[in-house]
Amino acid sequence: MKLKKFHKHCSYFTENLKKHCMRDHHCDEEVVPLSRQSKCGRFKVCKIHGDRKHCARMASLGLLPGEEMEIICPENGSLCVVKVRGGSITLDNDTSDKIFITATE
Amino acid sequence: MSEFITVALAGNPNAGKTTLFNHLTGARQHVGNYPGITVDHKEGYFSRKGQNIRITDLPGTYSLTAYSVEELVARDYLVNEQPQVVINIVDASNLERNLYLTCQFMELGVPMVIALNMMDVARDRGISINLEKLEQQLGVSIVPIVARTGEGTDRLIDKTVEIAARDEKWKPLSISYGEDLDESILELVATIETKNFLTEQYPPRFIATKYLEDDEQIIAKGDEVNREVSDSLKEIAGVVSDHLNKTMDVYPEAIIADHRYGFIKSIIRQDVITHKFDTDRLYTSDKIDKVVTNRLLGPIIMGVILLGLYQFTFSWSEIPVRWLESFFGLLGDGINALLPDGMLKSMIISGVIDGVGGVLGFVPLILFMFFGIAILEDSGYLARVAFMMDRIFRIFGLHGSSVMPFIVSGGVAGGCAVPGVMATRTLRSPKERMATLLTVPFMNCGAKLPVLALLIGTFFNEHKALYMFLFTVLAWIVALVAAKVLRMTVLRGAPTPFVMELPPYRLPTFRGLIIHTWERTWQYIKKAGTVILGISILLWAMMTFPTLSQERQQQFDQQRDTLTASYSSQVVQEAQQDAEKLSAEAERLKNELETIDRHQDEESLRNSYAGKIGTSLEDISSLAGFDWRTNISLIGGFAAKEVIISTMGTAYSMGITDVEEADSLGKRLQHSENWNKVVALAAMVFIMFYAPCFVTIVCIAKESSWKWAVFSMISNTIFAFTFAVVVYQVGTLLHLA
Repeated sequence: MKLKKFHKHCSYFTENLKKHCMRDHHCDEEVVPLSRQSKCGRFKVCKIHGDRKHCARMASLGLLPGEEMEIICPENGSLCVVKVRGGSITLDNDTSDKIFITATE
Repeated sequence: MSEFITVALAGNPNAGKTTLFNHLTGARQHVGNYPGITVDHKEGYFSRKGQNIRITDLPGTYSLTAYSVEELVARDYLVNEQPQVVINIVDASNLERNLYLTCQFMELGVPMVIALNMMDVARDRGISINLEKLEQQLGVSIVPIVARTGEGTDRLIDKTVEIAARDEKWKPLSISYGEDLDESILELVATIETKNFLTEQYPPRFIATKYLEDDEQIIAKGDEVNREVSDSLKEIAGVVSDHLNKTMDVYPEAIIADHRYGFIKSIIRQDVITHKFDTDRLYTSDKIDKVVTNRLLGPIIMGVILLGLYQFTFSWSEIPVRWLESFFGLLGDGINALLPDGMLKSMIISGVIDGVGGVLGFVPLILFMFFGIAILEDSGYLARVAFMMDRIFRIFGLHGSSVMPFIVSGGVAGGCAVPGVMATRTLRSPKERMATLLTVPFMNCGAKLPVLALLIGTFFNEHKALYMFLFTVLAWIVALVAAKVLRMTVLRGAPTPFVMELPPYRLPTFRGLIIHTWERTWQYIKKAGTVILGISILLWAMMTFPTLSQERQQQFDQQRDTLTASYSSQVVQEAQQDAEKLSAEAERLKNELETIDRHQDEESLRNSYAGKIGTSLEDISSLAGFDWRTNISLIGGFAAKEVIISTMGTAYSMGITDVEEADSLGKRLQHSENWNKVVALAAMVFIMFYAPCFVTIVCIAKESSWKWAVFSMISNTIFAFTFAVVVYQVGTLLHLA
């Protein structure tokens, strides 16, 4: 009972997963690596590839599946700048290659 | 109440921690290292209403999991030192991201007060925060402040003292991480509590979370304390991790992070924040970034700003540099007049004043350069420079953040490798940091400049600017290629991802700029001043002892006596006076006496230990075209590159050792049979690339190890000598001399 109450207001991640990611049929047509997106604008993170530590580091910066972000400076062969949860983060090519995004609805 | 209240200042990078720290402590701060690592440990003292407070500025972090050295340092400090209060500085204009760390402090249970900083920025952005509600929801005291102006800081300290006086136990917060993880946590906590596993240091739930997050440090600690229990905890964590990975293709730490953000959102959504403007709009900082980090415009703007920095440094520091030169000149004259001739006077003037003065003379230049860099750093532009340069540096196995150490070391000509080596601290990857640290001494620092200026002015006078530019480009090419070679051999390894948060553009505070500038300049003065003093005295001794034999000295005295005897007493008297206009005869006598002095000096030098070393090296050094006198100067350059000209002056019996009067040394070199254009070129490449000066070597050793310092000294010298030999031999073969 105690555990159920505890869970009551904490279902963001699973909700996000169900809504936006993991289901290939939901986003397969529009999903592209962040490194290939050459335009500024708002996008949604669909999936983050890479080793465990890398994914954890991204998560601590707020880059999680389902999260919306804005591309401030698109990838130009090396780095890009994205705005996530109020902060501007620079990502190199290897990192942005592993972040899959889709246009916001 | 104890004598001192211990307080830790913690928060995200760019939240304003250092600004608050500087505001509270002013100059009463001490910068050191955390043991074993090169992360700054800043500690300061101040008092409020009679209560003494010791405050530690922890490195900026995003989390308390072992993802970086900073995060480890911050967590270890909190757990091991157990400060009475943690001031968590939170950026009010970016509340959601900043509260992520707050959430982890709460999970650890530390006694805390939140300093809600940048309330002015939040107001400008149309963000209003219901402080009472936020305080109530988080269960933590909140004090709004503006660290830049000091607004609200008195209240913050009063609150800190009040919390410290309560002396309450740590109260860890429990956040739900979803059904799967919560069940595992309950299981983990039960084992931890039953076995009293690491509970003396950490709350049980915190340990359980770290096992789920696969935190390397906590797991290693656990393995050390009780392998059996640690293995059982790893097994429980492994089961849930595999399950989540199979079912949702994620690891527990992603779910934990999302639930933490969820916890924060659930608080913020309860009317804690109201936005006056559209939340999706881009702020001024983002708009500036669209231009400043643009692929085409960005590098142009960067070039203009860096050029401006050098213009500012060199033109503004010129006058104080001259003042210092005059000061040391006067000091030398004063001692010359006060002390009787002898070894002590020679040591004080040639060893102490010339040596230490030569280095301290650069202080205004260093001070202005650090001031300029502090402006770039505090305004947030430096992070953009690193961002733009990463593209080029990556090709050579370096990191975007390597750019500043290179520039500080003399990337545009000028600068100093000592602060450059220290500036590598901003690099997180040990291998990229080592590659940067070992190659920054190749830049043309302020001490190499006078030597290059002298040799270029003497042998390539018609294309001075072009040669200077070419040597700057050569320094960059050699440094970058050397970095690439190091990264492909002894420092092989994958590049570190360039992932960093760009701080928003801010107007730096004058107080902050002064403190940052002074902090770094003082480190330069301290390190350069002390080591150079010792080395200068040593060099002086090597160039002075053993003195000429009594017999030989008498022979020189006899030559003088014979010469003066051939002139009338009136002419001798006139020549001995330091008059501006002399008669032709007196002038001739003076010159002849000076020639004898020069010969005596030259013979003394050749007879000294330094002279003997220089002569013994001549067989090898002649391959690069260097004679014994050049060898002595180059040996002197191991101590400090400034010493090269003054030693050359002595070695070529000029009697003039002042850099300002190097023209006459240039003429002497021009007329010397051992010098020509090819020798000058070979000497310049050798001076540019051989072993870094002693202070830099000490710094490299302090920042890494003596092994790397010795490696740098030997490998650089071998490379520089090979380069110089190639230049000399090819040049001679092609009759370019």
